[in-house]
Amino acid sequence: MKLAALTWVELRKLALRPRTWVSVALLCALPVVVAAFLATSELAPRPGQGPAFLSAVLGNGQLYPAAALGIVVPIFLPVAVCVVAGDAVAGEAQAGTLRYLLVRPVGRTRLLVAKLFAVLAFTFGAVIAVALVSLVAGTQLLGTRPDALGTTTASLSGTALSTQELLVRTLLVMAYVSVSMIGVAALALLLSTLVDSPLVAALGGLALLVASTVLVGLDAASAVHDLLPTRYWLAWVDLFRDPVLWTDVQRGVLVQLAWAGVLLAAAWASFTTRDVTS
Amino acid sequence: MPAAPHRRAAALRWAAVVCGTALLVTAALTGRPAWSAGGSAAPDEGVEQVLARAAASAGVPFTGTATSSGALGLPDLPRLGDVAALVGESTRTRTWWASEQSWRTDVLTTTGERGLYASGGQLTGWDYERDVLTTGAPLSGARLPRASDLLPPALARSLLAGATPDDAASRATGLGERVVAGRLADGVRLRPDAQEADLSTVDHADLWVDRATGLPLAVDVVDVVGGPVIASSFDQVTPTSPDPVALTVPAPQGATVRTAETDVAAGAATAAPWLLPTDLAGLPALQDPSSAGAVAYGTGLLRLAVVSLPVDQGRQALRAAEAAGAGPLEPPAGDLDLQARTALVRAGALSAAVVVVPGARGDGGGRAYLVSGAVQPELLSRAAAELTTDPPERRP
Repeated sequence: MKLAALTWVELRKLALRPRTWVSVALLCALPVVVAAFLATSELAPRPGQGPAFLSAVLGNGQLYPAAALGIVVPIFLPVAVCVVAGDAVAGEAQAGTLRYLLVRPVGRTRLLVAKLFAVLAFTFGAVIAVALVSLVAGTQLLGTRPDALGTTTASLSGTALSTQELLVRTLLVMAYVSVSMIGVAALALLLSTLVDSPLVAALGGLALLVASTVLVGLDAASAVHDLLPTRYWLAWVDLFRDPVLWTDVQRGVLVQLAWAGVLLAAAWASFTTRDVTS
Repeated sequence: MPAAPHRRAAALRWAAVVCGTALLVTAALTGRPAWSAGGSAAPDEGVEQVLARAAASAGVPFTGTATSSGALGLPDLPRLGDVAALVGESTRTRTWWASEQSWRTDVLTTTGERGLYASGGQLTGWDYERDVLTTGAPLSGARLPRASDLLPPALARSLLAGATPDDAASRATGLGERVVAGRLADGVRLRPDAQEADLSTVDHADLWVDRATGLPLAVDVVDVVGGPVIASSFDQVTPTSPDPVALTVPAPQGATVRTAETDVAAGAATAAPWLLPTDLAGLPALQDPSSAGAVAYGTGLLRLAVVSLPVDQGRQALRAAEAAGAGPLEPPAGDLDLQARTALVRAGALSAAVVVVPGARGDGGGRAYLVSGAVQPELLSRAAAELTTDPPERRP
């Protein structure tokens, strides 16, 4: 079976699972709830507190997709990604279908790559859904600036961003947030090849997330800060500075690719040498 | 016998993964190799030349990001602005530096940005989260510390101020070379001399100076118990003229525009009623005392800042310090007498004393001073005694 066909099968399987849509719906619901509270109370977090941009979105909902992604990035999005990635192989093993899946003329490497593509598709899809829903929620609940005539939004540096520039930067944020999830997804996928319980695999991915977050906040661990998978997660904010500060964004992409490379290689070594009995 | 080849293939796969991981981790930990560092070939200059180039680096243009961190646990008091955070926490900045008169420094946070633009002899501030543009602050004169003061070049120049390269070199030793922010740097360690060492709470300051341009790239100030006082280092720097567009003051639509308030240090210096001496506690003044109400005294790493306060403000500060548990200064050794009410406050390596001299009968006034620095209380006591026993003239 060719990789494209196998990937299509995995994507279809993912799309037909109700829990896929439940997790996407929950991801989208949180920013809507936040937007509703902001719109009704008009109380933004104090400077330096709360997620980025929440004070700026009052009266300018066009910035809300970026703010919404900032809300889901630290916990909710990685949890959803871990659940899907952890279920990829371990879910088949737990259900007893992995053995039958491999009886078909399907190479294990190809199957693993198809599973990976499905996880990445879920991640990108969830990010797009959050951005679109929050754009609608933001513009409907929070409104747009009345002085909008080509320039509607100020960058973090105070310069004006045209609607086109805002769109480009929001798309870059979506791409960066998606890439930021690759490390966690790769670990959950690796654990998924090692255990027969999707729950254990997902929790393992979350353990990495928590451990990394703790170490990033620990000065004593500063020597390894730059290597931790969550170190640059919030660097998407730099895409709204003027000029754009690319340094941490580039480092964030490299760190994710490095983690993904190592963990996916381990997942490949594990899955292709594993005795599948269930 | 299919098991053996299967095991061998599995072992090979895992070995490839382990080797690849080891290579990746090694590359990441060793960072950018030294051969990629900017800078000229082997140095042929001594500590004196390195310090001279660092002291003269104000004209070296650059663009870069830097991180500074302080260990001075100052209380977060009103009218002190960001000072407590600057000297007590980690601050990340991004700077475009064309000259001392034209630069921009942004404090970068995960939720916004606070920019400061120097242009036309004035400072303009931009705070994204407060949506406020602040105009009209003077570029020079007495003031509270700001983020741009903690950039490695500014911090190094302030440590070298008031000393000739010969003087500074006599207290310095070379540290060899190191790559900082991808550039080759020469290291110099400054120490207080033997006489100053007993009076300073600073043990040494390490300066790392770019070999190609003389721009200080990193500064570490360490106290006498080995703890950090202030550390500042570039994460990334390009020693070329910044894009003029980046130096343009923004004009955000809808933002509140305010005139800058006089900060507490500038206010105290302006209102200072008494002239300060040209020498204090054996230390020379680093500014002209006749033109400033706040004067720094010192040599090398031994620095003392003195502000002449209006006496009512001095009394308020004294009462506040005493209420917070501050005790009086010990009388100085020797013949000097300390005829004043004092309160000593210590925060890490920093010591500060409020000194209030009661007015003589018929004088109706009295005098008050704030004396502070990274010094032992004995030096504050000596300075306070000189200020109280040798009455100065009123400022014109």
